[in-house]
Amino acid sequence: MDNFWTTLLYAFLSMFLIFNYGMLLGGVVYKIIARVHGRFGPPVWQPYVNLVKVMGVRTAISHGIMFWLGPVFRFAGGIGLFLFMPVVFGSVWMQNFSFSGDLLLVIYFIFFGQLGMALGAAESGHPYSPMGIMRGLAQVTVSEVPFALAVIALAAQHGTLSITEIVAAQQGGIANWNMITNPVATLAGMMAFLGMMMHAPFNLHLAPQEIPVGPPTEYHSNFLGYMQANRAFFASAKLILFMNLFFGGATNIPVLVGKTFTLYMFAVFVGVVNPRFTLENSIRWFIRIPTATGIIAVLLYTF
Amino acid sequence: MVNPLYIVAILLGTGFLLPLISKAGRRISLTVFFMSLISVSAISYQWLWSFLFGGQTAAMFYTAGVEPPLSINFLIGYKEAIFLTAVNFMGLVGAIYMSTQIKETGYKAMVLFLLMVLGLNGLILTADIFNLFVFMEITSIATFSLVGMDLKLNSLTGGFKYMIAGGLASVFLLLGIIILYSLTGTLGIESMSQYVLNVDNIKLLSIGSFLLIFSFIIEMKQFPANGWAIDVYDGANPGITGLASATGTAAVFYSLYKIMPIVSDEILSIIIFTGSLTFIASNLMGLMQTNPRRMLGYSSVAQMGLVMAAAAWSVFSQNDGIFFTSVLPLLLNHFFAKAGLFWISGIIKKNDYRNWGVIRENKVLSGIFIVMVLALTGMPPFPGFWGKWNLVLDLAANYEFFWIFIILLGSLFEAGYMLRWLGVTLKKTSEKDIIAYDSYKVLAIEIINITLLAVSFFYFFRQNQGHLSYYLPYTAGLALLGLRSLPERFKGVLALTSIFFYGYMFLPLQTGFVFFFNAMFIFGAFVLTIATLNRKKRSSTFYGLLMLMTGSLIAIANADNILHFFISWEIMTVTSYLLIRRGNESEKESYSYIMFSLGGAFLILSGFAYAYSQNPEFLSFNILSMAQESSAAAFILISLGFLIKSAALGVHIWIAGAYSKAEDDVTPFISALLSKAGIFGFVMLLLTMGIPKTEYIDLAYILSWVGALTALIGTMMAIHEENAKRLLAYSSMGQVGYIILALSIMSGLGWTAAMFQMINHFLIKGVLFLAIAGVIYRTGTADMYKMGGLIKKMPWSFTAVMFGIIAISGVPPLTGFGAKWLLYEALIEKGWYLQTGAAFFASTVAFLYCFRLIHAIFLGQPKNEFRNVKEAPAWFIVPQYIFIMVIFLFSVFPKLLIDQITGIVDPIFGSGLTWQGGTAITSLGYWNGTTVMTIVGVIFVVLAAGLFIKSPKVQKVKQFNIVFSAERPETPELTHFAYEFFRPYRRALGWMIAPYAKNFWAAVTEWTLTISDSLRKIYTGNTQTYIFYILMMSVVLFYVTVGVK
Amino acid sequence: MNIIHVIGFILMLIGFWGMLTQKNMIKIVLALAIVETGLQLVMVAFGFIKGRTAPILDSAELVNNPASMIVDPVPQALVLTAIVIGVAVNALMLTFVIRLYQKKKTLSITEYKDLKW
Repeated sequence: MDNFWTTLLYAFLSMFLIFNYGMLLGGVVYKIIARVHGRFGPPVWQPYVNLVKVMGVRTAISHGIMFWLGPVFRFAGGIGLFLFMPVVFGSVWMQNFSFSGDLLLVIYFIFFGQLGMALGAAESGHPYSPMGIMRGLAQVTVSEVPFALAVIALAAQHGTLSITEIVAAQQGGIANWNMITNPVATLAGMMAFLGMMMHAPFNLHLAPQEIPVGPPTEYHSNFLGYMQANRAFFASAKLILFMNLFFGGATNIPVLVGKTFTLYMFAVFVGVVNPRFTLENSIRWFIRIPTATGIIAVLLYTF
Repeated sequence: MVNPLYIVAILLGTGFLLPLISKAGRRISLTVFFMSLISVSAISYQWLWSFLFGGQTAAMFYTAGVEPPLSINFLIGYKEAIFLTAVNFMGLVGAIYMSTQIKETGYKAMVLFLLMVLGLNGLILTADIFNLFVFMEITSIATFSLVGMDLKLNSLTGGFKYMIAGGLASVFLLLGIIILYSLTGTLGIESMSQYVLNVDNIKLLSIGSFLLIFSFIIEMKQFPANGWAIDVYDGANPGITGLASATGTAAVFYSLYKIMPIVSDEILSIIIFTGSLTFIASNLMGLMQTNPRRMLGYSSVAQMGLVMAAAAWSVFSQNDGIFFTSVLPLLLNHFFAKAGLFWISGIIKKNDYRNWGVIRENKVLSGIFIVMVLALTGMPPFPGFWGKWNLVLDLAANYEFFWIFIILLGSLFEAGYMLRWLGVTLKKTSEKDIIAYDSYKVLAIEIINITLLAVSFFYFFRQNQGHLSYYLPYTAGLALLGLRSLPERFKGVLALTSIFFYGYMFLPLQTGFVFFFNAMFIFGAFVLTIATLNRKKRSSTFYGLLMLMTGSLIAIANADNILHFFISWEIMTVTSYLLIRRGNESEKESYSYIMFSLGGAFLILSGFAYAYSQNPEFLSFNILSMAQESSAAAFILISLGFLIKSAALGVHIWIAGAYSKAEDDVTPFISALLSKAGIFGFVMLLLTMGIPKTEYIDLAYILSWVGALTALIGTMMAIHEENAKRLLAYSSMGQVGYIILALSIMSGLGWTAAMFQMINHFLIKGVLFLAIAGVIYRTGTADMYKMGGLIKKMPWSFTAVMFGIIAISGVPPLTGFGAKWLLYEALIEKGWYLQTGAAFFASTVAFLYCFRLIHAIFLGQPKNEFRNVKEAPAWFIVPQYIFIMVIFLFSVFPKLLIDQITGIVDPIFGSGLTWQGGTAITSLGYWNGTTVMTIVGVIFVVLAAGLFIKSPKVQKVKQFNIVFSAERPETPELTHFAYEFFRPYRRALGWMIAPYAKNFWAAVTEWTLTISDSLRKIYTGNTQTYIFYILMMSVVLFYVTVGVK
Repeated sequence: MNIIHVIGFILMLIGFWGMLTQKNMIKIVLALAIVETGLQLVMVAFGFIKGRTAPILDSAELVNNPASMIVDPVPQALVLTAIVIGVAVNALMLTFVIRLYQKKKTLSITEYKDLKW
């Protein structure tokens, strides 16, 4: 395994890149939301400031071993998710460890961090932690349905579950993107995307955090630092996944940045102009229009 | 050979002399009484012996050496010898049972008793039709008198009804006899059956034979002219009813059987029709009974209907063999079990079956009771099982599927009320009651029990010649039942040793799926049995039943023909039922379990019968594959049976109750091992039959949706359960749904997924149920919201559950992901996209219950009462970690397991999976379990180490040390959010789990019981109503048989 | 079919009618006895052959050629047995009726239906 070390090196490089990209993306979003609200907003480098600050806090409180491990699970989940995905099509060094598994591995690995985090937060003993987790998990289960159907439609369309091959099939111009060749699946996928990006109207599970309790207040100092760093990885990884699936992937880093930024803005813009759904509402919404769209997408390939 | 006329002479002579002898004292008269019974028994045994081993042929005897019709003539053949032996044996035992009563009543009772036995013997022996009448009347008069002898109101009322019905029957009998005589000029049964062929006046002949048969239909207590009989069974002394129900019906049945050759096929069909109608109608009516004696009465007439119909069938189809393979075992089964149960009811004397828990006070009686009830419901190895099995197959070979349906439905009804009764007696009730145990009565019942077992084993060996090695897995269980009085833990070690020894000896000899399933059953049973070593309470039967159940699973996997499969399937059903019933307050739930299981077993049996009808020579599984072309019906029936066992959607309503009410260390067996029996059934079925293609429906497609929806709805139901065991039960249902879905794909990849998922589920449910068992052992509750924060007290259990839920939810890097990956790849490859979507939805919903399970029990705030609980005993922890080690092994090296599976599956379906190093490659995608595990492991360790180094001074706080909303809660233990955890989810998606199936089955039950209740109301208790039924029945049947010509 | 058959059957029908309509248990027993009587007539009628005599061999003519001169003796033997048994059963039934009357002080059959369903 002589190329193992190069793979590892490349992986570190891409991780560094994506970390900074994710942090900046977060900063830009703070700014945009503030402007929509009519505020001036923090500077775009605010996430770095936050991270440095929380990592510098001297005291840390732990409620137990699982609590301690929660952020580790979470962070490992974010990095793992990113590492199992090919990032830039055609480049040697942005393939990460995507040889370990196909699209199904990536989809399922999303849950790794969430589950670990949920366990950790729940050990804190705060009643709002499980409430937020319940809401988050419940919403994930339904937003995954249209997403899964969209992915199945793609697999049926391309006859493969390998992300690299799906991206390869979309090369050669916008007309080959799944957005054009498989619009129904893309529609279903993008509706699911809204539910997965933690923006309104699907961000009820963040509500307990706004009453100052829940993971961001329970977890502080290094724990919070891990979680914030993870958010950079996790958000970018999800963006890359959707870019790869529906929007032709990226052959170089500027394209990657352009596409993922646009994707993110989609979720952000929908979020800032919408109020928040209750959990029941969002479940019902996902199980109706997006799921129906997904079923249509799948049925197109069944018959 | 002793002339059988001596039987008459001895009985009659003693009867006449007893009034004299009684003057010499009670003891002497009692001795003479028993001596005469013993001597007639001896005469019949001697005849039976010489028929069995001495090559004796049938012989005719005449009184005074004069030819009939001027004398009484007796014919004794093989069948007569069997019936004589049975009747005289039972007469003797009955006399023992009633000896206290007989002693009190004096010589009159003895005389009547002897006369009754005389009449019964005569009925069996007589070779002419008029003496049939005479002996019938002797029997009847003696029985009437014995019934009325205790002078109780109910006995007298019953007796009066009996006499009216008997009087009417003898009117029909005499009329029939005289008509037949006037046509044929003979009274001899054999000569008459010859002469009837030459009779010109067909009309009169059929009238005569109809009247003859109709009188027997009344005597055999056929529906609807049998209300009087049930009232007699209900009202009279159980000693007499037991005897009458056994010997009376046996003798009358045999005399009916003797005259069957005289009558035409039309009349035989009427017998078959009436018998079957009685069987199903009486059993249906039995469902509403609460009085055990009345229940037994309904069962009695039902059994008589079945036996009569089967005998008529054997004459009708001119198949004498079936008399020995089916009619006789059915009759003997009824003969012993019914007498035994009636006699037990004479000791317990409770008029409501719900009060029968008191039988637990007497270990011997309650054990015998279980045996008798199981015999009556037709369980192996009792004769009733063999009788039913042979009858069903014979009917199938003649395409008589309607009768099979009637027989099985009637048997299900019968099991319905018998097992409900049994269920009450299996667990001690708080009610204390003093029961007078008459030692003669107990002795008689014990004799009957031993005889029943002996007859059972006779039939068992007869039917299994040359296949005894197949039953080897049962030896450990039987031995442990025998060693019941040893200390509990010693028996546990014996059980462990026997499993290990069996695996060591026989596992290496097996290949293919048999090896695969055997390995799972043996390994699983071994590990799970470790947890049972924690038991301290003495139980005489636990390990015996457990090993019998394990043995039955192994035997199912080893089965080489449909008979072996079905026997083991039934034994598995019964033993698992008895095990589940051991749990507290499990009566309702275990009843629902056994009824669904039995229904499923009968569906399987009917499917086998259908396949057998296509090739009625063999019993091997090949008949399933040979039946392939025309066999959608067989496939549907058999797979429905397996679906019930697998708790598929629609027939799942038993699962949560059965799993949750079983004892905590038994539930892992049921979930991890027993649920795989249905899967093995499917594997066996699909391997032999494939999935038949029909013109209009794609069965594979339907099966796939059954699997997918079972997975989805099962999971949906799991998330709303408050009880940890019910939650895991529904989780099992969902997981088994995936397996069915994967099997229905019928491709190499699909079956690999199915087997991988099965092993995965087996390991995980072992861990989870054991962990929960440990928690319940310490906390005493299974309600999750009553717990909380136990992570500090039970870290080992917590860790086990955590690994369990990661593996079950399918999150990489543990084995669950491999199962999901294989499943989705196979489904998409097959083109079943919507099912993939449903399965995916199910697997995400599974996260909800996974989190809920671990959160509600181990995380959050602890409750005050559980502040001092300890970690679960090592007996629970060790097996969990054995399973977890295996999970990790297969997670890191999935190739180890997948290679085993593909080695079996690929030769059948062709390869769907290739390997490149450690990467599994399908036509769609790829997965490398080893690298995934490595990468995740490395990242995790690096991050954890980083956190540890960066913040070495973490301040640890105790539970309860929380602040929220800027306040320290007064009662932090109440802040544990666990009850109705997913309420919003229920509000949004509750419609998916509305109890449609439950309501449907409740409606089915309700309707059945309503029909049963309205039907039984025809027995108004008024004698004149009964007379009316008898007369109306004669008119109706007369027009059906004679009038149509 | 001769007149005896007809009378016998009519008697049997009367008996059945009585069993179905009379509430008094003694009358029911008697109705059954009437049925039996009718039956016995029918049985004898079946054995009777016109122009023949009773099977009592009291003349030389009969002894020499019994088969063509006498009616079949078997049905008559049967009837005798049936009468005897019928009497026994009826007597036993009446004892039951007496015992029942001692219990409930009534002879009405409708009062004795505690055992039902």
